[in-house]
Amino acid sequence: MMFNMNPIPARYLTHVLNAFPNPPIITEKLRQSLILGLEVARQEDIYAFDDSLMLGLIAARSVVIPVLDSADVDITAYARRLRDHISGHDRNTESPFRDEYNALKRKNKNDPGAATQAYRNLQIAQALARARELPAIDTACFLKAIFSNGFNSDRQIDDATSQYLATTPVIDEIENVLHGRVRCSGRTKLSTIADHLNDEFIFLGNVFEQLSPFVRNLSSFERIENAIRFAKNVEPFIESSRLLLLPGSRGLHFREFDYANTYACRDEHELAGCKINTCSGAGLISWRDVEAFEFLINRDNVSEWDIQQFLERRPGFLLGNQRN
Amino acid sequence: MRVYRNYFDDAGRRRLFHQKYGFEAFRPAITVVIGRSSDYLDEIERIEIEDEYRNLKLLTYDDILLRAKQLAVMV
Repeated sequence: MMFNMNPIPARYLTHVLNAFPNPPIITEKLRQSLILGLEVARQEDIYAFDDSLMLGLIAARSVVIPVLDSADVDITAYARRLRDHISGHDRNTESPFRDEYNALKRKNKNDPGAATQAYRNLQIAQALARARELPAIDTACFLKAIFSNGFNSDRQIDDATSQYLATTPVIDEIENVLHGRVRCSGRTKLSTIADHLNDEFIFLGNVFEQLSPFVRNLSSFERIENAIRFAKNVEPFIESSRLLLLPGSRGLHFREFDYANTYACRDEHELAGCKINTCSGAGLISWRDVEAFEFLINRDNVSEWDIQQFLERRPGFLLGNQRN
Repeated sequence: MRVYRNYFDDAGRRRLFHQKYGFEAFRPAITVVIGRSSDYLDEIERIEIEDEYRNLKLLTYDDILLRAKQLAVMV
């Protein structure tokens, strides 16, 4: 499906962002997600924003969604303001969902409220379906920091995650799984790492699973499923599998990155916005090993044999990112 | 080094290598890891040595250390 990617006017985005009582960390990638999510909504003629809609729209544009905590952010209020603001724009054409809406009204003639809710769900599903067909952006979204308290830019979050990744326990755990798990294809299946390292506190699920059965039964979801299958089919063409790395309150969570872009995340029992990073699992070297190597080559009585032994045990020093 | 490089010309060896290490190898680039950076007079000397032997790359232990430090902070 062709999709018009003209960005929505910046003032729409400003309205959304201004609606947050405590301004969230607006990274550039979050900004992109919001812009694209809102653009999808605009093109789908959706103005009845609420948290589930924003969640879905942003999820459809992002690898990991920023979780909008309704306790902190009155989504409905800003949605109303946004709707009021843009109500004068592009409303000349009749809604493409009008026929479905009328059908729902007839079906639910004794319960107009149910019809309205069903209509809104229909809109959401349609918007999600279209948004889902857009290519995934390796995005980072961040609204409520747990692990990354005090960060205010992509760069800071990247730096902190990198430093955490370079710590010995994380490297050791990846290394332990990598060793001896070479597939016939020659590539180490990183899902084995993810299976090994996922813990009970992380929740990563398809956001559509959280929608109502009514929405899930819509035919539009066939299109979504097709899009998901497409994303999975694309994966083998990517040179190397990658891991999702999600900062959590007790450290990083791991999962295989499957190039689908609809995930929600939960850290322990609390919803949390998070920064996503991906890594191939190759070329990770701990500072402990770096220091050990430096100590070794500077040792007075070091022999070629010692160095060879060291490098054989830690092939990442020679192979770097080539190993996978 | 030539013998090592030609080792992978044989399909059977390539298959065995693949089974053991999981990746294909054919006509590999040859890298010799030797010495410290201070062992060379200057970079020109290294280039001259590499230039004399086609497909050869020289790496010192300091080069490896530097690369490892870069990888250790890279996701």
